[in-house]
Amino acid sequence: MLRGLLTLVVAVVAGAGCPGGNGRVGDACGGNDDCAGALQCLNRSCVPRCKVAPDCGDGYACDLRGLCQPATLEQSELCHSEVDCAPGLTCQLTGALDVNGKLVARCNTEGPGHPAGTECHDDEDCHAGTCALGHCVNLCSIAQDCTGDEQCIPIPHPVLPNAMFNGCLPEKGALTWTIPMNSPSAEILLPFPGGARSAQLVMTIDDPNQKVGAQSVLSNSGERLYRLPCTPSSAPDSTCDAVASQDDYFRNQIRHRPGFGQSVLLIPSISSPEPKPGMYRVQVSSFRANDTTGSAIPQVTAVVQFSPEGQMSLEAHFFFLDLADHPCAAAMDSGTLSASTALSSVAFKGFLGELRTIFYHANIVFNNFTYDDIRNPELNAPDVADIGNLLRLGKFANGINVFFVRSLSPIGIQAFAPNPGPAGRAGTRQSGIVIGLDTLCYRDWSVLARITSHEIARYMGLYHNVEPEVGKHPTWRDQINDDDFDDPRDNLMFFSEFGDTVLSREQGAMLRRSAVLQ
Amino acid sequence: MSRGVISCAVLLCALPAQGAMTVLPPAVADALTQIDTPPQKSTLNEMFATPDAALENLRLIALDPMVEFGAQLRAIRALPTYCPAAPQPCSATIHTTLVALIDAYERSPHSPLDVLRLRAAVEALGVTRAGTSSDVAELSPLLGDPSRDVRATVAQALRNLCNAEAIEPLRARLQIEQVEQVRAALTAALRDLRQCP
Repeated sequence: MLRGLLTLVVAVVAGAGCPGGNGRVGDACGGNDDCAGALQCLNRSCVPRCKVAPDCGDGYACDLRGLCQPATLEQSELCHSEVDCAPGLTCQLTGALDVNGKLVARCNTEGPGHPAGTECHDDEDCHAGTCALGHCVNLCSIAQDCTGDEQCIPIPHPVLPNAMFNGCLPEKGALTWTIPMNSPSAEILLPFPGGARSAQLVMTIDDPNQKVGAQSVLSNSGERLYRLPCTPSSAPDSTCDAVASQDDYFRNQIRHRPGFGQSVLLIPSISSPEPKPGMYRVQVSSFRANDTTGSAIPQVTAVVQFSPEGQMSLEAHFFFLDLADHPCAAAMDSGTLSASTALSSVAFKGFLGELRTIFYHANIVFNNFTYDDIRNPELNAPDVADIGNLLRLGKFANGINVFFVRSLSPIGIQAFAPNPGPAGRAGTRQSGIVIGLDTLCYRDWSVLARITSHEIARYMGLYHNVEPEVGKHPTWRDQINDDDFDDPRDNLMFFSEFGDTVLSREQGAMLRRSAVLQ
Repeated sequence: MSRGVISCAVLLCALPAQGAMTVLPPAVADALTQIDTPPQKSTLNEMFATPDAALENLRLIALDPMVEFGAQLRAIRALPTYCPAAPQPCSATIHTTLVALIDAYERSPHSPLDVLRLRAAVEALGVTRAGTSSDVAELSPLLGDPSRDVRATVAQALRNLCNAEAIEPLRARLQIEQVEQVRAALTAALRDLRQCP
């Protein structure tokens, strides 16, 4: 009797596809229970459970159990995420706010534009109807609504002040896009999404005799984070001299100075507190030498870095000018350093080892070195005032382009880096750092490794920890609170060649925000 | 020049000599060993209290073979920042200091440091933009120096001096110069000197 009952129960359970079903991928099924534990039943077939909604195809969400759930919302219904809307519909912002001040979105017919992730100028360019950070973006509620290499994060709305919406943006790496300007001076909007690590504007003009840069920066809440330092003048009624101009520069929360031909504005200038997500309002302008508005129209490129906190990797791309018959050849294994000889040079290998060690302590590892020769005799010993012609040859957008030249002018300058440099941008007049090798006539490779690291760090957004005048002008220093250093010389960012190679924890955190890293 | 004289003259900056080396106060040594910025005149003036004292100390550091080499190099190159704005001539103090450094090269063993020190002085002399015939005469023989880096620096300095008397020696060197880097510097100098008086 008992045996018969047990047999009946097993038969019923098997027929109903109870938990413990053993359907394999591709097997027919009537429900999830018919499939093995790591599978689900989708369209009457066992398939792997989803990790994110795109695994399921259009018209599905992926729930927290890894099961594809069909989207049910129809045209004009309120939605929060792209995966809420039925196939053929997308979740689009209406531009209105609800009673709680949140942006309203409704399901709407897909447009003819580009899919998510492609570049755009406005919403109409995107088939899902949302263009943000120069790219088509899908709305989302949770991370599972996005692809596996994306995150669901708050994005500032380009028009409505203080309004944010959740969209899918890259989890790692950087987004780059251009921001059009059609006059020499205009306010542009730089969105800083929640979860972004840093944002920068690369501002360029064609006329190298004019300057370009930011005149002011306002935060989302209207707080002034930067104001153009005053222009020193010897006019009798002027209140601005060189010291006052420097005071202005160091007083700003965001460090920036316009530059001839190109400049970079990097947010933030410090590692903590975290920059507030929101829309930053930046007045961008070209300037004449006296800082009045210029006539050149700036070209603006924005770069936002998303990589999460943790160990980061850095590529270094080495370029060698003609170093034949160099007076300091004795320090170069008594030969000519070049792309081919550097690989086997004992001295150069030691130099690379020191670079690795310095950045390893900031949780940054070098993962790729490349080597190239440059044969341009006019650039063998460039003047820093005209360094753009050399840095323009920095052909790698990822990592740092490092140029080894015979000498730099003015003689005595050992190296140069834009501060900060245009991370992620190749071929600009600031795309790299320069190291003069005549330093090796009176210093060893260890000092050269510190100098190179110092300049790489400046390119990535660190500043001199103190300036030479700090004794008389106490504010002339970086904004990083390094209580762990009694003597500023004990730090990589000390301005003199006689300093240590140490980076503080806060400096390391700041470096890891750079879009130079991967 | 004896150690004692330097120590006295550099009253505002130098500590007593230790052994063979002239020791600079840390703040001065730091300012003269900046990695990526030339020493600023305003910084030096603040460090040495007055512009005259700053110039005198720079001059002594530039001439002192027992000063740390990197600091000496920057001191040499910083001298022309004390020249008044053109068209006023640069002070004789600066000029004679730079010429003395250039003259000393001939008596040196032409070591890598000698080459570098010479180039700093030549470049600085060019930046004074004095443009005198004597400067052209001082620099022109160095267009035949064995070091390509010296020849290129001299061509650049003659270009900056902006005296048309330099055209002939530059043109003569261009006839025989083999190194592209130097040829480029000679060509640029000749091009620009045509605009000079």
